[in-house]
Order: sequence, then C-alpha cells, then structure tokens
Amino acid sequence: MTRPAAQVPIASPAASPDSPVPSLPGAVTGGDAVGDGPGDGESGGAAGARPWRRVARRAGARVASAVAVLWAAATLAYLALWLAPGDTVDILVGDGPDTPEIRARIVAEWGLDRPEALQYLSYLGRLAHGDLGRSYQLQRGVGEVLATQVWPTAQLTLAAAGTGVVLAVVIAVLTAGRSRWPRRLASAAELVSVSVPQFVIGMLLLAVFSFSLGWFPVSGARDASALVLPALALGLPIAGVLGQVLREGLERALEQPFAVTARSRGLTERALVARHALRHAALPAVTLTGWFVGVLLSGAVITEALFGRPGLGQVTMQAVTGKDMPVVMAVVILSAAVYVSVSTLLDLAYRLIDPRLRSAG
Amino acid sequence: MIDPLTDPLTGPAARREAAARRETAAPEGAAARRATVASEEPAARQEGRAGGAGPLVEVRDLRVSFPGAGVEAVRGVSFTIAPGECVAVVGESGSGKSVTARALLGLAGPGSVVSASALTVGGRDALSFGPRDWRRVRGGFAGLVLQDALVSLDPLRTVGAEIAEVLTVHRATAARSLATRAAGAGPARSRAERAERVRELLEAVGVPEPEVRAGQYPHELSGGLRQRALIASAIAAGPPLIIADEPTTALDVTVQAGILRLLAARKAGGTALLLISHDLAVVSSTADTILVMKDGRVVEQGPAPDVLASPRHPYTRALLAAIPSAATKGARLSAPRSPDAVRPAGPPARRTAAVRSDPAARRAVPAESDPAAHRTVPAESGPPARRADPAGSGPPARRGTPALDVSGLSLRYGRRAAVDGVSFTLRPGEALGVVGESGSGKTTLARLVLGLLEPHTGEVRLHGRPWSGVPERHRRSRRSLIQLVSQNPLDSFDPRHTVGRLVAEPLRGPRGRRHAHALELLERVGLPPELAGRRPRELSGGQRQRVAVARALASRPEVLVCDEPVSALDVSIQAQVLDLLAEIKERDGTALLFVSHDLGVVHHLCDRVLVMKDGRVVEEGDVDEVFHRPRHLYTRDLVAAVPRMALPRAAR
Repeated sequence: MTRPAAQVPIASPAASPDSPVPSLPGAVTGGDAVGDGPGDGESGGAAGARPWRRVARRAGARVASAVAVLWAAATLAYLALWLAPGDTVDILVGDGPDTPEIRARIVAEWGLDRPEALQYLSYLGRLAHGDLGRSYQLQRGVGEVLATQVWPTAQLTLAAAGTGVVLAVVIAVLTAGRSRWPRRLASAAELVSVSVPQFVIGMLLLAVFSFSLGWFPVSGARDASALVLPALALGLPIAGVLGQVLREGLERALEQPFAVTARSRGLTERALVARHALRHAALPAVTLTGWFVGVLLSGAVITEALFGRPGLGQVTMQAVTGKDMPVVMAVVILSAAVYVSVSTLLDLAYRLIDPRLRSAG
Repeated sequence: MIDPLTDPLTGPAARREAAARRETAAPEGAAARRATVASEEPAARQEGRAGGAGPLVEVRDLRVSFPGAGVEAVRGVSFTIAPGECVAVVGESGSGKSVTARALLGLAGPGSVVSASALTVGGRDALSFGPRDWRRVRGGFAGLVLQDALVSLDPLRTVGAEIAEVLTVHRATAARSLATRAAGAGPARSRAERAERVRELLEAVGVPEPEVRAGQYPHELSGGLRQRALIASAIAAGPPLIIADEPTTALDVTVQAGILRLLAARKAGGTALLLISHDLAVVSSTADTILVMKDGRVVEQGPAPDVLASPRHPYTRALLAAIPSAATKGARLSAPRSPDAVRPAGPPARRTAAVRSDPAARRAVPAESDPAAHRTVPAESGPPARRADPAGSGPPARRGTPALDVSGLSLRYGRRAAVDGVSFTLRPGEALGVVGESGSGKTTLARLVLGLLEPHTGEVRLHGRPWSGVPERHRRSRRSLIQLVSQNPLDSFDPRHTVGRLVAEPLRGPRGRRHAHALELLERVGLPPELAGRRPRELSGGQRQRVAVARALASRPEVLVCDEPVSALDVSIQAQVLDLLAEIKERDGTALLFVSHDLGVVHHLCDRVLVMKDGRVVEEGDVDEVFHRPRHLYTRDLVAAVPRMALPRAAR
C-alpha cells in the first residue's frame, strides 16, 4: 500500500534553495540577497525600537491639531458674537426674559466689564473647563440642555449611518460586476435616493408607511418603531452615494492582478469579494465618511423637525429662531468636536484597512 | 536527505494521517497527479511517465476571442504538457500568450469565448467544466504565478494569509495530493496547522525567517522575496503544474536569476511548468519545449534546443536578432526603416506580413543568428571573446569640450547616500551607460544631471559651464541643451495634446514653421506625418517613445538623458528605438547618458559604462572591457546573472 514515493520528503530540492542547482551557474547563488539586503534590513529593524516613539509622536500631533481645530471653532463663534451689531448683552439675552438681574448676571458671567482680551481669555478658560455657558432664555446651563438632547440625536444618526452602510454594502456586493440589469436598477435607485431632497424622502415615507399603512408612528421618539422612518429618511441618501462608491471600488478591485491570483487559487467569486475586494473598496468609502457626518448632522435638523423628534436638531432650530446665542455657539463647538473625533477615527480606520499606510508613518 | 522521524513533513503522525487520507482520495485526475507529484526521484518519475499517465494538459486548436471588443486573442493553438515538463510560450505583448495560459485555468477573462477541438486538463475534458470543476483545477491542479507580486498578492493582506487561503480552499485537495506526494502534512485543518504549513512552504521557496515573513505585507518584502511568496502560494496545494506568467519581468537581474533557479528546482522536483515570457533568454535554460506566438498563432513550436539553435520561422529569427547584446554592437537590431517602422500601427496581421515578406527584415538579421554563432551571444562568459569591433564599434568620442562634466557628485537623504561621489565625463557623440539594480542611485544621478535635483557636494558642468548650483533662472535658457527621454512617455505627456503639438512645444517661431519643423522631427524618428494629429493614448508603446525622442530632439540638445527608455517595450520595438538612438548619436553627435538595468542593451548601445551600487560607482570603463572582464565582485554578479541562451549540449 505504501508507495515508495510517499516517503520522499516534499520538495527536497527546493527546501535548500541556496544549494546551487547543478544545471545553473553557481556564481549567482544567493543572488537575491544583493537586491534584498537593504529593504529587508529596514523592515526588520524598524519594528524593534522605534514604533512607540513614532506612535507617541503621531498621537501628539493628532491631539494638537484637534485642539487647534476646536480653538478655531470657539474663536470664530466668539468673533461672531463680538462682531454682531448691537450691545453684547442684548444679543446674549436674545428673545428671552430681559430683567436687570439677568443683565447683571450676563455681565458678570461673560466678564463684560473687563477688557476685551480678558473677556476672550476667560471665555476660552471656561470652555477648557467644559463649561459651555448658560442659556438665558431657557434659564438652564447650555451643557445641560445639550446633554438631554444628545442621546435622541445619537440614536437617529447612528441608526441612519448603520442603515446607509448596510444597504450600501448589500447592494454593492450583490450588483458589482454582475449582469447589466440588476446593476442598472441599483444605480438608478441610488441616483434617485441621492438627488431627492431628504425632506421629500421623509414625507414620502410618512405618507406611505404612517398615514396609509399605519405601520409606524407619525412622530415622537417613544420606542424603536419611531426610529425606523427617520433613520431611513436620513440613511437613504448615504446608502445611495456610498453604494455607488463601493461598487465602483469593488469592480476596480476585481480587475486587479491580485484578484486574478485569488481566482487562480480556486476561490469562489463571493469569497473573493468578501475576503479581498471589499477591503479595497472600503478605502474610498471611508474617505466619504467625513462627508456623510456632515450630511447626518445637517440632515438631523430637518429630519427631527419633520418627524417631531427631540434632539440637537430641534434645539439648534429653536436656538437660532429664538436668537439664543450661547446655545448656538455651543452647537458650533460641539459640531467641530464631532468632526475632529470622526476624522481621528477615520485616520485609524485607514491604517487598519491599509497596512501600507502604517509603515509609511 | 531529511530524517523522516524529525522532519515535520514526514513525521510518523503525519504519515499515519496521510495514509488514512489516501484511502479516500478521489479517482478524478488523481492518477496523473500521483504519477507526477509523487516523483521526487527520477526513478519514480519514470515509472509515472511510463505508467501511461498521459499528458497533464492537452490543447488542440484552442481559440479565445473577446466578441465584445472584437478581438481574437488566440487563433488555434495546440500543445501538450507532460508531467514534469517545462513548456515555454514566448511572444511579444498582444501575442495571446497570457490568454492561452489563463484559458487552462478557465480564467481567460470576462467576456471571453473559449473553444477548442480538445482541451484536456488533468485528464478531464475541460470544455464541459462548470464553475465548480474550474475551482478545483485552480490551485489544486495548477498554480498561477503572475508578474510583480506587489500587485499580484493582495497588498492589504499578509503573505501568510495569502498562502493560507489556498490551504483553506483546497483542504481536501491538498490533503490528497500531499498524501500521494509524500507522507507529508495532512490537511491543514486548524489555524496552527495552517500556520505551520505556511512556514514550511515559505521555507521551501527559499524565504529566510519564514515566521517573520508570513506576518508581513507584500510591500514590506523585497521584490525577490515577494515573488517567492507568490510562488509559495501557487504551490501550496501541491499542484502538478505551475503556470508562471512573466514571473521575473519586474525583477532585477540577480533576483531574476534566483527566481528562475527556484522554478527550475520545482521542475526538478517533478512539477510541470508552463512558462510565459517575452524573453527567449529567460526561458531558454528551463524550457523543454518552446512555442513562439505572434498575433494569437504559434509561429514556431518544438524542442527548446531546436528552436533556439535553428529557428525556422523568420519571426523567431527576428526575435533572436533583436535581442541587444555584445554581439549586436554596431549592427542594426531592427529592419532598416522598413515600411513597418514608418507605418502607423496597423492591424497586427499586417505587421506579420511585413516581417515575413520584407526581405529587408531578413537582411537585418545579423550573421550571429545562424546557429553556430549563438554560442557567442553571452560573450561575457567565455574567455575574453573580444570581438573584432564590427564597423569600428561606434565613433571614437569626439574631442573638444566635454558635453557633460560631473565631479564628486553626492546627494544624501537623511543618513542614506542616494548618490555618493560620482564623477564622469561625457563627450559629444559618446554614449555612457549607467547600470545597476533598483535602488542603486541611477535615476537620482540622472535627475542631478538634468538639474532637477541639487547635489549636496560636487558639481555638474554642461558644455563647460556650471550647471549645478546655479539659480534656475540662469539655467532656463540653457535647458534646451539637455533633454530627457523617460521610461514611460505616456506619463510625461499631456494626454489631451496632439502629437504635433507635443513635439512643437519646445520650438519657437511662427506657427506654420513650428508645425513644419515638428513634422520634420517626426520623420527623423521614423513616424509618418499623419500621426501628428493623434493623441498619445492612440499610439503604440514604440511610437510613443519615438515621439518622446522627437520632442527631446526639438530643442537640439547636446546631451540626451535616457532613463530606462526601452524597459517597457517589446524586444522588436525596443530594437527600433535603440537603432534610432544609435543613429542620433552617430549623425548629430548628441551625447547619450543611458540609464538602464539591462546590461545587454547598454552593451549594445554604449561606448563606456558606469556600474553603480548603493549610490557609488563600483566600476567604470569601456563596455567591452567591463562586461568581458569585470573586476568588481558586484559587476561579476550582475554579468553572471544575465539570462543567456542555453544551447543544447549537441551544439556545444
């Protein structure tokens, strides 16, 4: 039963590649080393000593730039207040109750009786301590106002982002490189979802699923079912753009030489997409994430108004219409903070997805 | 030999497992596989062959077309691959060689239509294969190795993951073939077992520190190691056939030699090879059978010694003659201004006709193309076969002011010296070659000479006047004296401009005269005037490179810096461009600084040569002297690594 050949060790000639193969000139033995030397030394040595310092330096740079962005946002908000025509106290009072006590409080809290440079510095100092000031209309701390409204908005935007990403991935994977019809249908749907304004999508959804079918509540944020339609309205445009970018990325990846190699290993097309192509397609999609954070934040204002949901969007709307300057300023700074943290996360995501960026430093 | 008790591949446990698996081995194609793969010893292989195993692959009248694009890529190709045999398919780009190879894996490409009167893969009729059958063939029966592992391995995954993927896909197949191959490792079932197999495979293809390498990404490995890792992934499931499509084309010459040796070793181990290359020299040492393809057809086919020693078809002869080397020095490589060279790229079929019928083409084949003379092609090897300089071997460098005078040039990037103390003089009408492997500083030197980079120390003088260390606004008026021809002109042209406009751009004067001058220039480089209205993308590679030369000549330069100008071109097109450069040098006395990794090209064209390594010039002198009697160890390695025509024993 045991064939003699079965005991021969695998690939013995190649197992010692440096032993010269008789038929070839021996002089070139180890020839690879000539070309390989420098590159390999680098990749081997660099892994040992430097990475911590490099990571620390990069993290430091990141934090510094985040602080700079936040400072710029805070300063711009302050300038807007300072440059606005009229008395600063009037502006801060806005449409709220106007009594001498409140005015006195404003002057004390904003240090309006002190020199301008000091006013600015104390404003920055206050922010640095996490104190976003006080809304004189709502008679509450701005931080407190925002804190109660952050959660519904976070729910909405996260659900919308999730819906958008899942829809985009599913559609892209199902239609990438496929026959014309499904592909055309999907891109038509994507085009519609991108070009129709969000509030129109929202109203259509309301008309069909709430008014006619009665499946979902018309407004409010009582339970999860109230989240479905707003999340869809906010997520569909994202799914449209993301889907197109993903599909294009997938199709490009499937034409690369490594896809040929992967197919030549006997991979199914589905495995090729899942294990190789999707990751390549994710790179341009991740770039778009910055854009879609903007869509989510501005879309939240409209969507919350349309579906009568509480949240930051509603607070912002009221603050703007009621000229509640402290709240508006806080919202500006908060949006900047969201952008900064998202872009930091994106940077990390890039490095996770593409190892080439890691060693490039 | 390896001790069976200690070797992980043949250890007792593994053997038991393998024995168990052998029972379950499916009959399909197993006979053939067993016969070939099992044979590490010649005796076993003979038994396998004699045992009526039949060919691994049998192709009769294979045709592949792409109806969507209206292309017939392969038009009736027939060949067989016997177990353990190496079949080489040689041809230029567009000859259909890659499509032929990929058709064996069912990967001819999207939109392709494959037909054949017989297509047998692993003893089964592949014409009736469904997707599942093909998937079993891919990796399990034949592994594919493509050019440039930087893009042929998934750049986002570690090489270990890439190799392990084959093991996961071919769990059953791998077990089967390994069981028959050697009482080797069983199926790599667990993660740890797979990791162990990956390590063994990397070791088997000569990758040092396999554990470390398995965790690295392709871009972290050197070109040679990357290519070895790609080969490891191709052989992971123990296929009896390796299809290697230009496996060494992107590599430095010494690295290429290593990869070729590795493939030869796999072949010696009993694996059949289908080797695709544009370079006859690359395949000559390994191939048993050679097919020469042109325009989708096989123009010549036969045992390697016969094809190499006595090529019958004019195209094969032209291909052999077009290879630049020491032996071709001073001779034209291409047919002298044949209609082919002047015509715009017509349909390929017409070009065939031109080569076949044009008597000039045959005349152009230098005397060396007769069988006996082939031995002298690698003249570097033998005793100083100093050839009687044919036709005086280029003009003696004209005296007078040097066109270019470089002294003690250095440029550092951080601690690393990209160029380190390089000095040379280039006289009018002289061609100076700069050779070295990637990273040796050749291109940096070219950029310094062009004044695109400033040296940290040293000086460049152009036509006797300082060129480096001079403010750009003083240099601008003299920029026309030194021009660049780069490797890929498509990247350096504005794709929206017409050829006429591109060539006329450096010219001055009224529009009509500029246009007329541009047409003259096109004619000088052998391009017809009607090409002036086309855009770069519509041209063939050779035509583009001619346009680049025409544009460089427009300002009547004294020095032409050529950075790998023919590296991306097919050998016959390369021949035309080299002839053109030689002509410009002879006729106008233009000095050439010719940067190339190809020693043959440099030897053919240049009078003197600098050999660079790590930014330094390690050897310099007369080309014949340097390449025939290299003094520096590195030059010797380079010269020795140049693939050469292996000639049959009979002819020696």
